[in-house]
Amino acid sequence: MPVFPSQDWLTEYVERINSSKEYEEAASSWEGDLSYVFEREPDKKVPDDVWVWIDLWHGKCRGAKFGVAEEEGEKARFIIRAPYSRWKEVIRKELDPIKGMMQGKLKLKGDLPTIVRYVKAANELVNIAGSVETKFVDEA
Amino acid sequence: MELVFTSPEAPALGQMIADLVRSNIATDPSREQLVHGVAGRINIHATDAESEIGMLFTGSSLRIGPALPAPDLEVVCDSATLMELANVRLRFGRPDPMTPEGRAIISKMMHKQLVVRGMMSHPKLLTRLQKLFTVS
Repeated sequence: MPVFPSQDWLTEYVERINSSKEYEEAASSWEGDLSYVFEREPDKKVPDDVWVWIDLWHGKCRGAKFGVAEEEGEKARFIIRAPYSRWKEVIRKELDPIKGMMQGKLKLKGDLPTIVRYVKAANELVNIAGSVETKFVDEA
Repeated sequence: MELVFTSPEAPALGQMIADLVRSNIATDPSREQLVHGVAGRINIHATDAESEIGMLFTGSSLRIGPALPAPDLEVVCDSATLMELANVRLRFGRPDPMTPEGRAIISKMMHKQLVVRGMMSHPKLLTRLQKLFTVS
């Protein structure tokens, strides 16, 4: 079972994105890369911020990198960041990401109207993340 | 002079709505006129996010901050519905019943999953809110 956050987890996540019909349909016209930032929580075995970059294009993920440098990750069209334990809540579907953004628990950098237009695709990305069998690093 | 202000006390939802309105105006500058020449108070309450914000149309600007006392309009719904409202295509300033998204919004209003208090007495204010808010 892949540990979150890790390269193995990302690989599994990308495979699932690329085999999801629901995501493909919802994001059929989406063009743009995205960085996730899992912010450090040293007491939860995440000593540093972890940047993950994914390149999403017309319903598919055509590239992904784990542990990219901040300078590289910041070049993405969209950045979604939150402390590691918030992401854990999102993956476990205990926190809806849109609700989380409205509560300031997740922070988005990028063109908000685009995210609003593709809210179904964004939700699908979260559903896919939730479908990956995950062992969390602080529980491993 | 800045058109859309966000008060430092605005909750995250307020920042989000301000970003949305600013981006919509940047994309379509003709929407700028929607802020002018109208005065009114609107509160938006995202129930599941337990967040409420106030939008004050001063006649020449829009100020977004914490909820306002005695609003002219009050929009109450969950966060998903708020996103749907921002995504709906408009027809004469209202959700277009010819689209599935428009019908979904109208259905939610009928089932009180979306409540808009004051819409009968402040139709123009509601139209402006919708036009500033929607990304469609």
